[in-house]
Amino acid sequence: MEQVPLFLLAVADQLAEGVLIATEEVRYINPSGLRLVGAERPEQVVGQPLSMFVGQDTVCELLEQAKGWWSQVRTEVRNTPIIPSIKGDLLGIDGCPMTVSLSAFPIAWAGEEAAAFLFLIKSDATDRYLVERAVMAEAQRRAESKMQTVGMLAAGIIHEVNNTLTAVLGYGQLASRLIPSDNKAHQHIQQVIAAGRKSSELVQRILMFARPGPAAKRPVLLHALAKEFLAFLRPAIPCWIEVQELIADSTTPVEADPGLIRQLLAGLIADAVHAMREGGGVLKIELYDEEITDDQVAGLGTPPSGICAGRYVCLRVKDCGRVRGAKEDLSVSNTLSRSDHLGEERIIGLSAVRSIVSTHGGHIWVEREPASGTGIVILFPTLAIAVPLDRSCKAGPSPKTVERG
Amino acid sequence: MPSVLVIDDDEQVRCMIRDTLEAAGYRVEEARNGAEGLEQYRASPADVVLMDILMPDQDGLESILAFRQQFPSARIIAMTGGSDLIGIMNFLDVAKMLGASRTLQKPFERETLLAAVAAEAEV
Repeated sequence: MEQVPLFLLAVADQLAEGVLIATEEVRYINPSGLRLVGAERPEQVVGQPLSMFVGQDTVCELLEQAKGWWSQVRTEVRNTPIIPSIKGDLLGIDGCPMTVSLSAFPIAWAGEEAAAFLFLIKSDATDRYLVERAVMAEAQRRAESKMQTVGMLAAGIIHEVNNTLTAVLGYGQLASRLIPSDNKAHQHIQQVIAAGRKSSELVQRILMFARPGPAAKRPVLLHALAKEFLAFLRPAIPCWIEVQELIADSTTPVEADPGLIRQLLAGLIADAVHAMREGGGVLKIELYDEEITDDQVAGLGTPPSGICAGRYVCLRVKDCGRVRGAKEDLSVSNTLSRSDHLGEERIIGLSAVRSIVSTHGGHIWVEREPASGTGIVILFPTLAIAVPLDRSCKAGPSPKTVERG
Repeated sequence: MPSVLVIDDDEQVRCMIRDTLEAAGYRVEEARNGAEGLEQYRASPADVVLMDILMPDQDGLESILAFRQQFPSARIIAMTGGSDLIGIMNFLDVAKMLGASRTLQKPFERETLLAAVAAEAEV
C-alpha cells in the first residue's frame, strides 16, 4: 500500500479547493471536495470509482498532463513548471454535473508508473467561499480574543471574591462562637455563613465551567520546548532529588499547544517529585523519536488500542518512588492516584495530563517496575507520521512492546 | 505558645486569620508581602508560615523559594483564592512542588485552617 504523509492530508483538510486522492477509486476527499460533490460524509465518496465523479475522458487528459508534468519536474528540478488545469465536469453524488477547473498531481508510485493522483478541484464558488471563510476566521479570532480578555478579568475577580469570602466566612464563624445559640443574632450570623458557603460553591462552578478552553495547536519541536521549560523548573525541584535529562538533540515536529505541553510537563514532574518527597532518588526525563512498526501494531491487542504505525515523539518521566501493581493504561483507567492508602492526597495533575494527551491525539500509560520505580510514558503523533491512503489504523498494540532501540 | 506568621496582602484576610488563630491560642505576626515576611521571620522565626500566593512586590511562589534557600526548616502553608485559569498550572500544586508543606484553597473553613496550622505546629 502506498503511503501519503499525514501532514499532506492535514493541509488538504484546510484547503478551500476540493482535493481528491484516487487510484482507480477515491481514497480520500477533503471537506471542500465533499461540499463540491454534495456529500455530507467521506464514506459516501471514499471507495467509490473515480469515474463516478470525474468523466473518463477528463481523467485521461488530466493523467497525461500529470505524467508529462512529472517527467519535466524530474529533469528540470530548478524550474518546476506550473501544472496546467483544465475545465471539466465534476459529477455530484446525485449525478448532476458542475463545471470546474481540475488539475492532477502524481503522489504515489508503483515502479515507474504513477499509482495514485491528487486532484485539485476549483469552482467559481471557491473564491466566494474563500472570502466568506476569511471573514468568519477574523470574526472568530476577535471573539476568542474577547473571551480570553474576559477570562483573565474573571480570574482576577475570582481571586478577589475568594479573598472576600474568606473574610466573610472567617469572621462569621468567629462571631457565631461568641453569640449564644439561643440568641436571634446567632441565627442571623449562621445565615451569613450559609450565604458565604453558597457563594463559594458558585465560584467553584464558574471555575469548572470556564476551565476547558480550545487548544491553540501549531507545529512544535518538543525537545526544544522541553529543554527550555525544564531549565525553568529545575530550581523548583528539591535538591535531594537527582534529575537526569535525556532529551534528544532533535525530534520530529508535532502539532501541539505549547502552553498545554508545559502544563503537562509540570504536572508529570510535580507528580514524580511528590512520589519521591520522602525518600528522594533519581527523576529521569527522556524525550526522543520513536518509530512504531506495523509488526508492533499487529503484535498485541492490549491497551492502548487505536495506535497507528509511524513516527512518534516519546516522553517518559520516571521516578523511583513507591511502586505498586502492574503496568496500567491511563487512557482507559480511572485510577490516577499513586496513593496506596485511602485518604492520602491525590495528585490532581495527572488527570489534567491525561486530558492534555488526549487533546493531542497521543497515548499514555504507566510502567511500574518494582526494581526501578514508576514511569509515565506518552507518545505524541508527529507531523511526519505516514498513514495508509485509506487512513485506517490497525487495532491496538501494546505499548509494552514498544522498547527504545 | 506556638507562633504563626501570616503573609497576605489582603488586610481583611490577615486580621481574620489573626483573630481566629489568637482565639485558638496562637501568637500571630503579620506581613503584607513575601519580602516583609522574610524580614520578620529572620528577626523572629515563627513555628508556621501562612503564605498567600498572589501578592504584589514579591509573590508567594518566589517567597517560598526564598524561604527554602534561607530557612530550609520553615514550615509553610500556601494559600490562594486564585485559579489556574490564567496560568499554566495550578498555583497550589506549584507551591507544594517548591516546598510548601500544605496548601489551603480560599475560602476555607475555620476548622480547616486550625487543623492545618495545628498539624504543622506539631511537626
